Formats: sequence, C-alpha cells, structure tokens
Amino acid sequence: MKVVVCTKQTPSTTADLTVRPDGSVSWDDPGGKPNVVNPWDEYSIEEGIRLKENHGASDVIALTMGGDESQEALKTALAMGCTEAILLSDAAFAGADTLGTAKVLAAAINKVGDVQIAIFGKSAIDGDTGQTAVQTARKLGWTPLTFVSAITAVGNGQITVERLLDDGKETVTAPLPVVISTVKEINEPRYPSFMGIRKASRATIPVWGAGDLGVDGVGSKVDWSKVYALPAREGSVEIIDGDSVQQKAAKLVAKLFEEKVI
Amino acid sequence: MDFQLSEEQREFRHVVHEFVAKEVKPMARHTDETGEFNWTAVHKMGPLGLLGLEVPEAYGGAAVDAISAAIAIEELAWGCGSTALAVSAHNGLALGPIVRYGTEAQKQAWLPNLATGKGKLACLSLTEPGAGSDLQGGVRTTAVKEGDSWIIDGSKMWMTNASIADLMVVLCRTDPAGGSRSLSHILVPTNAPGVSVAPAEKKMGLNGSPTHAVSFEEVRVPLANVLGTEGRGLQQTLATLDSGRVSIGALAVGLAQAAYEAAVKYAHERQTFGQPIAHHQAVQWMLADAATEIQAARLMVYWAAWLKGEGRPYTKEAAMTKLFATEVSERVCRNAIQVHGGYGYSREFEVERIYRDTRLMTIGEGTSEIQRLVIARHILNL
Ligand SMILES: Cc1cc2nc3c(=O)[nH]c(=O)nc-3n(C[C@H](O)[C@H](O)[C@@H](O)COP(=O)(O)OP(=O)(O)OC[C@H]3O[C@@H](n4cnc5c(N)ncnc54)[C@H](O)[C@@H]3O)c2cc1C
Ligand SMILES: Cc1cc2nc3c(=O)[nH]c(=O)nc-3n(C[C@H](O)[C@H](O)[C@H](O)COP(=O)(O)OP(=O)(O)OC[C@H]3O[C@@H](n4cnc5c(N)ncnc54)[C@H](O)[C@@H]3O)c2cc1C
Repeated sequence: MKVVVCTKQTPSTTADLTVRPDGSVSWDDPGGKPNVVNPWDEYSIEEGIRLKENHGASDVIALTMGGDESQEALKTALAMGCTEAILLSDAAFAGADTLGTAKVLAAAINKVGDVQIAIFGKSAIDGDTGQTAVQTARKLGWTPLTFVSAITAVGNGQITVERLLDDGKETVTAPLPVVISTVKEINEPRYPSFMGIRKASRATIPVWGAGDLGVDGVGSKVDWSKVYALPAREGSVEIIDGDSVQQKAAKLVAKLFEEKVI
Repeated sequence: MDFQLSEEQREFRHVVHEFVAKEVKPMARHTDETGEFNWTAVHKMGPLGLLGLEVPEAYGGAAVDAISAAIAIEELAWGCGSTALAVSAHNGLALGPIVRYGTEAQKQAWLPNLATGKGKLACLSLTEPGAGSDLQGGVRTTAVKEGDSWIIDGSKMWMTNASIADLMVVLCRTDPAGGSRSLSHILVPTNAPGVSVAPAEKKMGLNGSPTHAVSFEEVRVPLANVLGTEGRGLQQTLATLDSGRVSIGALAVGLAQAAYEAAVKYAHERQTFGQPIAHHQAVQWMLADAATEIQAARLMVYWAAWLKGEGRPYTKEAAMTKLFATEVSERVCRNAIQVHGGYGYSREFEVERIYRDTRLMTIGEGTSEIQRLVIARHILNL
C-alpha cells in the first residue's frame, strides 16, 4: 500500500502579507524566518509516516507543487520520515488556482501508481481555501474524507476514520482509495531527526513537469483581481489600577461589560 | 578557509533551535525553581538524536560531526542551563568514552538504549570529596579483583545525572601503588547492589540538573566491565575532558547568548530620562562588548570542535576555548543583569537564573586555573 502526502511550502506563521502597488503579493517574515512546510501539513506528514509504522504502508511519498525553493519543504518531509519526495514544477503550473493544483496533484498521484491513501492538510496558511483536497479527490474519482481526527482501521480494501465536526465526532468507513484531509487533533507531529536530516540533505528530489504528467491547461479559472491587506488594527493599552486584586478584577469586568466584550 | 556552517549543520541548528524554543526554554524557570528534571523534553530528545549525538548510527546514535554536537549543546543552553548540562554530561562525559574505548559487547549492551532515550541517562564519576583537580593523587575509590569480579569501595562527589542515570563510568584506583597508571574506568549500573545515591546537592544554580554524592560499598561488577585499558583511566579521563571542555564552552556560549538577547530586548523597552536605555552609550557599550565576546567565544568553540573532528591534537585548544568561553559568559551574564537594573536581580527575569547557571562553567570539568595550567604547560613545554 502506497501513501501520498500532499504538502505545500508556505511562509512562516509570523510572516506579514504585503500587497505591492502593482497588486502582487509577498510575504515577509520580520525576523527573517525561512518558508516552512505548511503548518497544517505537519499533521498529515506525521499521519502518513504512522500509516507506514502502524498500518503496513510500504511507501510514504511527499508531493509538492511549487518552485525550486519548495524542495526545502520536501526535505523536511523526508527528514521526518517520508520514504520519497517528488517536486511537481513547471513554468506552466505558475499562478495555478486550487483546481489547477488539484489537476497536477491528481496526475502525479496517478503517475506514482498503486496509491491507496492521499493525505492533505486542513488548509494552507497562505491561500487558505481548504479546497485542494476535495478537488483532487474529484479529479481522481476517489472518496474524500475531510476533517479526519483519527484513522482507526485500514484493511480489507477499506478504511475507517473519525471525523471531527463542529457538533461532535463521526466514525465513517469508505472503500479505498481515498483522499483524507486532517485536523490538528489527529496526532502530535514529530521533530525531524538528525539521521533524517542527513538522509534528506543528501537526497536528490526528482522533478516532474507538465510533460511528465501529461497535463496541460493548468492555469487558473479564478482571477483574484483585487487583493489587499487588512488595515492595521488601532488600539491602546490601559492599565487597570486598584488596591486589591479583587478590586482590579471588578473594574476589569465592568469595563468588559461596558465594551460589550462579555 | 570557510566560516560558514554546512547546509546540514545549519539545518541541525534550525531543528534544535525550534525544538528548544518549544520544549525546553518555556520550562527553564519551572525546572530551576522546582528542581524537577525536564523529562518531558528529554524523552522527546531520543528520537531526534540529541541523546546520542556522536554515537555511531549502528548503535542508534545520530553520528553528527563535532561542530554539530557543539551546536546542539549551545542551543540547549540557550534554552535551559540545567537541561543542557545533563545532556552534555550524558553525551560527552559518559557516552563519549564508551564509544571511544568500549568493547563491542559493552557498546551493544549500553549504547542502543542510552543513545535513543529508551533508558535513562548516563554519567561520569571522577570527583571525590577529597579529589577534584588532582585526580591522580587524590582518588581513593578502589576496585579490587576477586574471582571474575571487581569489588568497588569508596565515595564520589558531584556526580551530574547520578539519580537520572542507568549507568555510571567510575574512575577507580586499581593499583594501590599509585602513579599515572593506577586508575581505571569501570562501568557500574546504577542499580548494582551497594550503590547509594545521596539526595541532590542544594546548589546556587543549575537546580534542574541533579548533582549527587554517591557511595560504593562492596559493589560487585564483572571484570569485563573495565572500560578501555586497565590502568589507563587517567589518560582516558584527560582525553574525555578535552571533548567535555569544548561542550562546556558551547554551553557557556548558549547561556551568554540567551542573556545577551534578553538584555538587547530589555534595552529597547526600558525608558529612562525620556529615552530607551539602548540610547545611552554606557548600555550600548556593554551590549557591543557582549556581542563581540560571544562571537569570539563561539568561533573558538567551533575551532576546537573542528580540530577534534579532524582527529588532530586539541588539548591546549580545548582548554583555551573553555577558559575563554566560560569567562566571557560570566561577564556577559553579569552585564545582562546590569542592563536590567533592579529587575535583573529578580527571579521574574531569566537573566538572574542564567547568571547563577553560568557560574559553574568556570569550575566544572576543570577550573579556569586548571585550564591556564594546561595551556601554560603546552606553551612553555613543561
Ligand atoms: C492572494 C491569493 C489569493 C488566492 N485566491 C484563490 C482563490 O480564491 N481560489 C483559488 O482557487 N485559488 C486562489 N489562490 C491560489 C491558491 O492559493 C493556490 O494556488 C493553490 O495551489 C492552493 O490553494 P490553497 O493555498 O488555498 O490550499 P488549500 O486548499 O487551503 O490547502 C489544503 C491542502 O492542500 C494541499 N496543497 C495545497 N497546495 C498544494 C501544493 N501546491 N502542492 C501540494 N499540496 C498542496 C496541502 O495538503 C494543503 O494542506 C490564491 C492565491 C493568492 C496568492
Ligand atoms: C554542579 C556540579 C556538577 C559537577 N559534575 C561532575 C560530574 O558529573 N562528574 C565529576 O566527576 N565531577 C563533577 N563535578 C566536580 C567538578 O569537576 C570539580 O568540582 C572541579 O573539577 C574542581 O574540583 P574541586 O571541587 O575538588 O576543587 P579543588 O580541586 O579542591 O580546587 C579548589 C581551588 O583550587 C584551585 N586549584 C586546584 N589545584 C590548583 C593548581 N594546581 N593550581 C592552581 N589552582 C589550583 C582550583 O582552581 C580551585 O579554585 C561537578 C561539580 C559541580 C559543582
């Protein structure tokens, strides 16, 4: 059983979005932190590795569609314990929307062959549509299982998972192959090990382009004609004085009522 | 000459830094105040490779290069001196000699668990109530052969990790005649009958790194537990300390870095006479000196580690590195408190803890005086 983990490289969680005058977008980290594996994807990578450790998966293959710099995200996936990584990169993929991304990912999953489970994160912290997993499932014609908080059984051609919904949990079983998107409750991602880092830094990551995948017309149906950063929040700090903790707390509660916060 | 870390070393640093920022630094104050060893973080270090830094992969280790090993200790100390000391002693002082001198059977028996965090930690036991700097003349703990066993009797002092360890490497007198060939290293499991570990010493700092007096009363271990060559304990100890001194240098740099960062942050925030104190030249100079000295100390640590990795002699260089880095750290941490004013003297601010922690570094694994003695002997050919 092969497992594929789809992961995107994103800016760090502390990066700020800047919209340049020409409307193009850049993310810059004030502390100069590098781009990272999309934080939600750390859970899906971990789950992929656990499918190998606990459910007999033979391969755990990380896929990223992106530029050359996305190799770094794939190296992190390898360092954590993925057995293989493939970069999907081509000038023709630039500017793809989620549908275009899904097309490329689905073609790559088919090319890998014999994949039973494709795991995605909940959403990417930059684009943040949360659509890629289900659109990829649609392209593949596989069952999508979203908001998965536990994989409880895999075998006999089917999978049983727990889905975490606003109102509770739901246990569902579906025939393989499936596309899964995970929530953070599913596990605690491991740190990459030193042995893994060494293996990853020596690995050469194959690159598949449009020709290898036999996809064309990736492009974008969605046109984001206006992008703007939210105006910075205005605010001020008020220190609450009082003779005792009780008095300070009472004053604070009164203020919060006044401001309709509580 | 190339002053850049390799890509792999940079990635190591990044991973350890992120780990320490999340799992170690936030607990440092609690660890110091309660004296509870941070097992939660240390258990997570096993899979990462932090507990078998220089142990070959065949025994479950991470087999990183000497510079990466120093970086790991530096980053740990940036987060918590106590945790860094425990991990440094485990790796450098205890596993180091087992890797270097152990037989295949000893390595197979101990390394796989110790290097991966499946067991507890390990420690090296040299110092005694009456012997620290002068081990050759002072060690009174004896190991006597009886049948197929060593019988060990005596008392050791200041054993880092003794209560959180599975294994001790104990320096014993095996030849009552004395002299430089009269000492040997013997592997003693902490649960061997006759071993008693006294309650943790009450210390000025590093309270989350337990230090113990340990007594040995007719402790019996197989003859095969001698580590390396019988009678070469002193020489093996000195070689182990060379490596340990680089690690203590790295630890001192990490502590200094943390204190310096706290001081820079505070200098921007605190206002006096209508401006941030960072605008006062006297404060700027303390910070400029700190940045310069930390950089110099760090370069010395990497230099000594590099020599070690290349397999070149580095006894003098390790002594220079430890001497300089630990004294720099004391100065930087002292001034970080100065920049904080009264708040720096408060337990609420981490510079207070860091200053207490770094105070040990000019004492343990050879005092500054002993480092100067080692350096002087080398440069004067004495
Ligand atoms: C400012 C801006 C606005 C945009 N608005 C839209 C929009 O409105 N509609 C639209 O369709 N696109 C939009 N895009 C493009 C979109 O962000 C990405 O191009 C698309 O590739 C991924 O969508 P996402 O980031 O929302 O990922 P999500 O769907 O939120 O990601 C879910 C999961 O899909 C997987 N995944 C996502 N991207 C990749 C990848 N490249 N490689 C491998 N796995 C991946 C990961 O597992 C991830 O956790 C926008 C881009 C920008 C810069
Ligand atoms: C927190 C902590 C953890 C420790 N962990 C360990 C451990 O894990 N294992 C272990 O074996 N030991 C450990 N030690 C012991 C430590 O290594 C010794 O304390 C150190 O080597 C100094 O020995 P001493 O205390 O006997 O001092 P002494 O040797 O008695 O020295 C006292 C003073 O005399 C000076 N002095 C001594 N000889 C000379 C000389 N020839 N010339 C000039 N000055 C000299 C010293 O520099 C010092 O200032 C630890 C100590 C502490 C405090």
